[in-house]
This record gives sequence, structure tokens and C-alpha cells, in this order.
Amino acid sequence: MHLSPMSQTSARDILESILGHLGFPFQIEETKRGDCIVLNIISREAGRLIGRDGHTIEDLQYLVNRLLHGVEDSPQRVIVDVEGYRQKGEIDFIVNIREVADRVRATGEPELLPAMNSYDRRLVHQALAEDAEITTRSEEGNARMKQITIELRRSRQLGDAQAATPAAAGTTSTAGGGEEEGATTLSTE
Amino acid sequence: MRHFLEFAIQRLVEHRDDVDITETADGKTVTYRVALHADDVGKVIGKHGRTISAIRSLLSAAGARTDTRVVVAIFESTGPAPSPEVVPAQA
Repeated sequence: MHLSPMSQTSARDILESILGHLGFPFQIEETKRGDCIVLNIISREAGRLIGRDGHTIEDLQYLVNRLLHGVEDSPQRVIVDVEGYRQKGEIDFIVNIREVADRVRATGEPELLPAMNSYDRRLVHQALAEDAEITTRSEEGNARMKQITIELRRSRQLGDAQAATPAAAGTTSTAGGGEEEGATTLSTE
Repeated sequence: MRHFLEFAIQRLVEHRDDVDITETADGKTVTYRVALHADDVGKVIGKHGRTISAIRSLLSAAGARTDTRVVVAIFESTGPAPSPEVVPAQA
């Protein structure tokens, strides 16, 4: 028999129950990021809660979302962090993405990133959304893990092509003026 | 740790009255045997074992504080015979 609807308890309540029942000392900072709730745990036992390579944080986050929504494969709308560990990782991640974008800018060659989940893909799209020369494009399909291509915006590609060095542009997509290669591939996920 | 297990299991299952958790300690090892209604076993284990793996991981992290190894065994209960020792999950 199902008693109360799962949604009546907040993500924060669930995280507090988990940590409290496990006996960890903690405080929680709650913030919003887009349509996600970020619950950052402050604890003198942060190391144990982070786990090796952050695996325990991943398990905490998975379980909070699982217990909150009551279904598997629910969107991970609640981000659980410990002492900003995940956020520091994200900063490094974005720095790396910008380095890839700079390489694409310099060479004109598109680059394909490793397959990643929707949260990380959104970080990539957001990191480069304002870039006048670079655009990002997710592969199509419903797979959970997808690859993103970082490439020059079409206006920049055309500019190169018109600069009397068409052969040196180095991109396959502009060779025949391929129209299907959209100029406005501002991906939204 | 037992309270955590009860909390998580009670939120995952449909047949809450059929949940029976027994705890045994042997030296530095604590074993929880969790009996569930047949329909709920898959919910607690999760796809590819993801859910039970997260539960075990958190119990291990908590157990490590006291140098305790925690084992969780899930099995199907034979009938709806709720044990009086099961504490209802907190709201």
C-alpha cells in the first residue's frame, strides 16, 4: 500500500534524513541554478562523503533524486555537492572546454568531445553560448550519453572561405557550401 | 545505519508492511537481511543494481567511521508476515 505522495517531501528533507540516519554531522546550503536545486553539504567529515573520485557524492545525489521522484531514470534535478567539490570540478571542466574552443578557433577544425551526460552537456553549451565565433552541437538521438561537436560558427567559416583561402579553411562542412550545416546551432537541452 | 536503511527502503517499496529487516553483528561486520515483497525486490535493487549499490556505498561510508564493514542482503519474503521489530519509517 502506498501511503503519501513522494513529492510532499523536499529534496533537502530527504538529504537531511539520509545524513542524519547515517550519523554524519552536517549543515546544508541550498541554492538554485537554472531549474536545478543545489544542496551543498558542509561537514567535518567531507572526505568520507565525497568518496574516492567523488563516487560517494554521486551515490548520494542518485539516491536523493531516486527517493524524491520515486522512479528510476528520473531527471537529476537535485545536485548534491560536498564543500563545493563538484563546483571546483566544474570550473576545471569549463576551463578545459574553453581550451578546446580556442584550439578550434585557431585551427578551424571541429573537435568532438567525449560522450557525456545531459548535465555536463549543458555546462558545455552554456560555457560557449556567448562566443561569437564558436558553436556547439550535440549529436542527435535519445541516448543518455552523447557527444558534442565544438566548431566555428558558419559566419566565421564563410568569412574564411571568402578570404581567398578556401582550401585552407580545413573544415569539411563548408567545402561545398553545405547548407545543411546550420549557422544557428545553439543547442538547447 | 539501520534507520537509514529503513528510511530508504520504505520510500522505495510499495508493500511497506511486508518489509522485514534483521540485523546481526559479527565482530566488525554488521549484516542487514532485508526481506521484501516479491514486487518490490526490483525497485530496491534498481536498474543494473544502481539503487542498491548507492545504498551499500552510503552504508559503507558511514560504517567506515567506526571501522565497521556493512553487508546488505536482499531477498524475497515468502509471505506477508510483518515482523514486529520493524520500525516504521519516519515521515
